[in-house]
Amino acid sequence: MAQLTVFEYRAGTSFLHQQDVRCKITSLILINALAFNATHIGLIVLSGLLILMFLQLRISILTTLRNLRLLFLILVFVLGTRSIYTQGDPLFQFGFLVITGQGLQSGAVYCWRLITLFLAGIIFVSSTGITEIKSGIQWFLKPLPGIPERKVAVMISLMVRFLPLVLQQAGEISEAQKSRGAEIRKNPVKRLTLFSVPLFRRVFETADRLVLAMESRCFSENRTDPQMKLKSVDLISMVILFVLGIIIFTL
Amino acid sequence: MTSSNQLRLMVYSSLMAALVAAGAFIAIPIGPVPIVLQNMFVLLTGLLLGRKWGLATIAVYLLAGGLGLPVFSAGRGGFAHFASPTGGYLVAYLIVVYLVGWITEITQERNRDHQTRQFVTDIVAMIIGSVVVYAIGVPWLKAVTGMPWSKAVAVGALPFLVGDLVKVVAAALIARIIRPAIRQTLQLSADSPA
Repeated sequence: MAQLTVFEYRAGTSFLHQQDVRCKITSLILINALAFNATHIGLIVLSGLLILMFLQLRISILTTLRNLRLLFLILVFVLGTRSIYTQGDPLFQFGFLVITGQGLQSGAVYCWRLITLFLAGIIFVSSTGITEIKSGIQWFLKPLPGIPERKVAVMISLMVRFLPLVLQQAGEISEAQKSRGAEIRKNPVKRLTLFSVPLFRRVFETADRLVLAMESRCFSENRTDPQMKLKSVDLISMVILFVLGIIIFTL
Repeated sequence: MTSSNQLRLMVYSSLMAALVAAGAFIAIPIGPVPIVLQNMFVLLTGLLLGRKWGLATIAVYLLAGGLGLPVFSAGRGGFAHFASPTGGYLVAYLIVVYLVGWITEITQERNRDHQTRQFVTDIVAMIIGSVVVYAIGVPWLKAVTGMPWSKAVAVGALPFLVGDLVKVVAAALIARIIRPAIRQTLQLSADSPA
């Protein structure tokens, strides 16, 4: 049962797939900064932009969101604490808990920001291959002193590549244990142990196989990286995004 | 240590970073609240990989999140997240993993072949680690949101304490099972001519 997780790279030839990886990383950082500082109008513009990108990639937003049930759980928690701990006009009252209109509003905007950030990340990961991510990060880290940029770039790209696999394995283990009635067991320590041990085993087995594969292909940090070329389309899209960013900031 | 072991540790470290990232998304429903596994995985990183590679694991994880890759809890990416109310917990992970890894390293010779003693050391190391998480996370939360101390502690520490204790005990049990296998593999690959 190989179910695709949302963090997976999807091969394709869309505009986003062809964009230079350095531009993509810059855009990602820019979109993140914007999402945190934008007002309502700015957030609407940003969300519109992200929806356009999703359409471009032919990924369904609804399926993506459905896969992120835990994210919503955390968002509800964030919304709850925000509504309770913001001062303002009381809206509802449950005992000593007062939910204020202002709190609810600021909580909702905050949740919107988080979803925007998340979708931007998903777009990046699903349209950028692992070697591209590696060479992009390497390019950015090169000027920084004290960081072994090749090693770090390899590690980040491995992490991004294996995150979907780990999630998938965790899902499989959880389903397998559910089907054997693991939920009847009430002792939380036992539950955590029984879940994590097979997960760690599998992850370290994967790591061992990966080491074998890398060694047999004579892996070294000094390898020839794919060439990155800035096309004029990349520059134009960067300029558009920057202008949009300035507009959103000043709104 | 041979170059082969260096590569193996690098791969282990990358995959542990993936596990830590995944830990933000997987939860085990126990009772009414699901327990999120991320901080348990951070503690285990220190126990299993030691201070140097443990630190590398968390640093890689934080860097990837800082670049905007969707790896932080609730998928928040971006450097802006470090300035948010919960950013302190993320920064604390760096110190904690180093601390736990360091305690493991200085005691491992003495604890060799003493399973119970190792188990107790692991638990003590992780409790110290958890205390550090809150010692950094809660003041950070207070500074960013401007809550009074009582509220900051009520939101940022109290709801998680019982869960954390459960996780610490579980992590010690997991480490007891997984650690020998990792040590053996590293030993074998160090002995073999690479």
